[in-house]
Amino acid sequence: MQGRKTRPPRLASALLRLFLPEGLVRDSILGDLWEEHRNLVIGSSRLRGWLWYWRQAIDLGSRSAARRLSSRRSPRETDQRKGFGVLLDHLRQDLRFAARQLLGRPVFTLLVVATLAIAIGPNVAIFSIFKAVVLEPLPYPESDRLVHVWRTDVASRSRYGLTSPNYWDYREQNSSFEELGVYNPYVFNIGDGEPVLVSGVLCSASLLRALGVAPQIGRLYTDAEELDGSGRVVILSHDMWQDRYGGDPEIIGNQISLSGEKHEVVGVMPEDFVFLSVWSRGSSFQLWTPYPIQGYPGTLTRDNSARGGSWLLSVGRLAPGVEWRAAQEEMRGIASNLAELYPETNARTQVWLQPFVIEVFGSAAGRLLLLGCTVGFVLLIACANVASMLLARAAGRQSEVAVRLALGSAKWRMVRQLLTENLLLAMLAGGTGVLMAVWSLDALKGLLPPDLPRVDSVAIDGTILAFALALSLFTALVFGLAPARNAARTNVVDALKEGGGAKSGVKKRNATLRRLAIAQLAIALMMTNGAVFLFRSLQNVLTTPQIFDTEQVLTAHVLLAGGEYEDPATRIVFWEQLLERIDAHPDVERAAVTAQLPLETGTYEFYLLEGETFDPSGQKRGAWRNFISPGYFEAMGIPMLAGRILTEADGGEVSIPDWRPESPTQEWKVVVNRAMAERAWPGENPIGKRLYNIETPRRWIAEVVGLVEGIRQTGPERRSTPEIYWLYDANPFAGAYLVARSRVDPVSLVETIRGELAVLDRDIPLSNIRTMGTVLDSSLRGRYFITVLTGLFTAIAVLLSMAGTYGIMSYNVAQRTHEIGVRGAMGASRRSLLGLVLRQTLRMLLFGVGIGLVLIVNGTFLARGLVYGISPFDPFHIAAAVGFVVTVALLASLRPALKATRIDPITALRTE
Amino acid sequence: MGNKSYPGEFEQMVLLAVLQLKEDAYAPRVAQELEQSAGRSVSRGALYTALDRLNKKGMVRWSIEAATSERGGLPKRRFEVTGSGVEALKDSRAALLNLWRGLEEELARD
Repeated sequence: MQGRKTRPPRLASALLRLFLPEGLVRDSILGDLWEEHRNLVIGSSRLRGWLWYWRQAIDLGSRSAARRLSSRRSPRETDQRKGFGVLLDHLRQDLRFAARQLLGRPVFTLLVVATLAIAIGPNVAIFSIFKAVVLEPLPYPESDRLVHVWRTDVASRSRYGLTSPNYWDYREQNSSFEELGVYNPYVFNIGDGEPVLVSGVLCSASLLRALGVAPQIGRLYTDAEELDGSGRVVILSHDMWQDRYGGDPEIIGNQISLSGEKHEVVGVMPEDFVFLSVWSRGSSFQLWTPYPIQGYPGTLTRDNSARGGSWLLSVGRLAPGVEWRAAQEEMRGIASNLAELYPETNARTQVWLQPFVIEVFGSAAGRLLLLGCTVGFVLLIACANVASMLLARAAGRQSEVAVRLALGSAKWRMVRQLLTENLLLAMLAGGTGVLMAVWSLDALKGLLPPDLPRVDSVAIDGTILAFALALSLFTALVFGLAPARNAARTNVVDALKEGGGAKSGVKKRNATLRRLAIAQLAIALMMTNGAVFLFRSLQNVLTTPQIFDTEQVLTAHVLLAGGEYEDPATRIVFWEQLLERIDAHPDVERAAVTAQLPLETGTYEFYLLEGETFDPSGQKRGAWRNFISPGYFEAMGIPMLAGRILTEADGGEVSIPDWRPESPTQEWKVVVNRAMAERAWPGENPIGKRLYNIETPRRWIAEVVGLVEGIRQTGPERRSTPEIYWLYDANPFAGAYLVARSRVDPVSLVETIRGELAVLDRDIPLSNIRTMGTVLDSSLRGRYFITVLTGLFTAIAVLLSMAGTYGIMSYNVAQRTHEIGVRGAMGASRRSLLGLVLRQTLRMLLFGVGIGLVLIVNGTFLARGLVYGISPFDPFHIAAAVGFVVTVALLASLRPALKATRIDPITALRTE
Repeated sequence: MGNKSYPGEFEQMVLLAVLQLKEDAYAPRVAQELEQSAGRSVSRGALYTALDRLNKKGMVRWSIEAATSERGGLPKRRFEVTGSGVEALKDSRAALLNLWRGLEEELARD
């Protein structure tokens, strides 16, 4: 790590390489600077080292460039050499003059710098997030060869994980992949010492090889260790090795207790290794171990009966030179063969490949891009605003410019002077903007949704500064264009004529100003509209009934680990005892356990209705499946619509080991949700109906005994989809969510539950403790993030465009003082004078709103997927946005308009 | 003496620093020496320019040494004062001493 920190700034050393003549001398100078920079960084700080290096690089580079320029010239060219010196001299003069000009009008300078900085700051901040999250290369060698492998349905575009037997076939029959591996994020109970739950990964040996990671110490585990099932081995993350085992170099070969079983530590990952998972994106994983593990239902079986489910996430490394599309073709061929061989399970199964980088960063990139556009628009408005300020000021400097021109100053010199001023302004604003970004970055990071990867590495570094510099230059170009053109057009004679003789110039300038104001209004309208729709959508999501109780329910994850829970029946006994104890507490209304919480997805199962036979080519019916204790619906506050709940009496043989009620003679009782009833038995009473598994060897029969309201399994903004609830006897899980509905503040139950748990087994930790309100909140973090920031940036945009409108109208009134005075003298009423000014605002608004509406219609794709419970073209909300912008613009021009009515004709006529 | 050229003040300092450092005379150390012994902090641009000029005048020469990891694997240039460099220093010292003669008392007064 130290190597990276002590490396000199890349851009600066690249510049040096460019400017110094190539050879040993250059290399030795670079070496000297490297060494001195390194000493400074180690002895003092990175910042000091950075500053020092840049100073030396600029000094050396400019000296070398000057030397090269002068040595290239022949003696005859001395005149030109003088020319170069003169040019430098001019530049210095320009800069000094520009600085004096700006300092001479501190208020104007401050206003311009603040306007630009308030727009540059957010751009820099958002870009720094975008860079860290999306632009940094994946932390794996040749990561462009990594692809994600998904199972899809032939007809729908839904994506699922792979099933184990299919994975083996894909892996063994393909020639496109160098390695193909599978994994599942999982929670492990680390047993030695204080028991804790850590996030880890169950994965095949081939997966780690596919990622191309080499452990810092020890080794990766092998296929053999994975396959014979004896592989009780584990690889630790660098963090876990440091934090829990004190960085002990002798850790390799030690046994640690993982979910109740001894595992041998075979390796430790390097410090900078990051495992990026499509699921549990924000997690930092602490260990990697092969399948199977106690308490986790999945194994890498080749058993054909297991082709039906789908639970393995798969990542592969393409062989060198193989395109992912070609690999997809091959994999699709294999999938088609499997479909012929196993029509019952594979008839509709296809394979879909997706480059890993898109898989991991795709959605984050989309959301950040939306914010990027938003801040980009703010910058455009700021540029338009500053351009107007400069133009208005140019009007005041017209005579000065004309006098200088008349005295023989070159026109291009004048324009260059203006550009220098603009550049200076932009640089000042850029610097301020960077400072703003630095200050706001921590707050911004706190707002980021938890599923955004690599948030920790967000920082302002050399690249970001270069971006800020480029952005400032770009800004100077954009806002300086109109004023510079205007100046270049100055006609000396016209400008020097007394009393507004320069009519044509004024007209042109006023037209430009109006256009700039219209552009600001149009962009402000588009952004306001976006913010209105996002806030409305957030409100819609928040007011969407979630069915379950979000106020009084506490949840926590419990994982049973250790030899005594190997027998599934003991687990059920444990859960029953625990729930009984918790239920006995007076503050607890009802307690239960469940395999899955609402909003957090789960597992999917296909089923047949009574009388149906499986048609491999037809669409399969599927439903979420959940395993619960009898009190679940009461504890979660999910209303019962018909029938009854599941009771202990419905429990049959506790089934082992997989979720697989083996005895077809036994009829299970299940509860279904409303969406399931409507899908499977539209218009009928679902109570008493029967369901079957889809494969021919009949594995289970279930009778519906109850109907409940549907919760949203995949997120608060999604529809409720079919769900089947089984009693936990059907799948006696080792890890489950405890759910307790409280009569008092639910958080106060934590100690009670922890106490009861300790009475039964003090080695079992309680983890992931949340209220259901928190569960709902955290699933909305991404939406909060986008909505709050868009709102903030829109507020800035509206403020800026309001200031812009105000400025332009004030300027306008000031310019028309004479005319207004004449009108007043001729007897025009105050009201008609007010109307005169406001009409002009309305004309601008007409164009601004028109263009804004066009932008709105064409820009909806930006917020696609974020608008909820409302049409993106909802006329009422668009009208509200238009109304808001119109009101703001009219308010902004009210003061200038009122000022117009107070113009005294006598004074006005004297202003000539 | 009319056509004799002396090294400039800064050049003299650089030459002396190089002599002081002996085997260890490469640019970062020269800069350090100038800062410590003469209280003069120099930009690296100025230092390399001076060393280049002295090299062209034949007063210093340099040799390349192997790279180390502290310098990102880049080579090292060690400087050495040549015979004519030493001569120039001596001449300049002698000239200065000549000019100083008899002035010590007067200049030491304040």
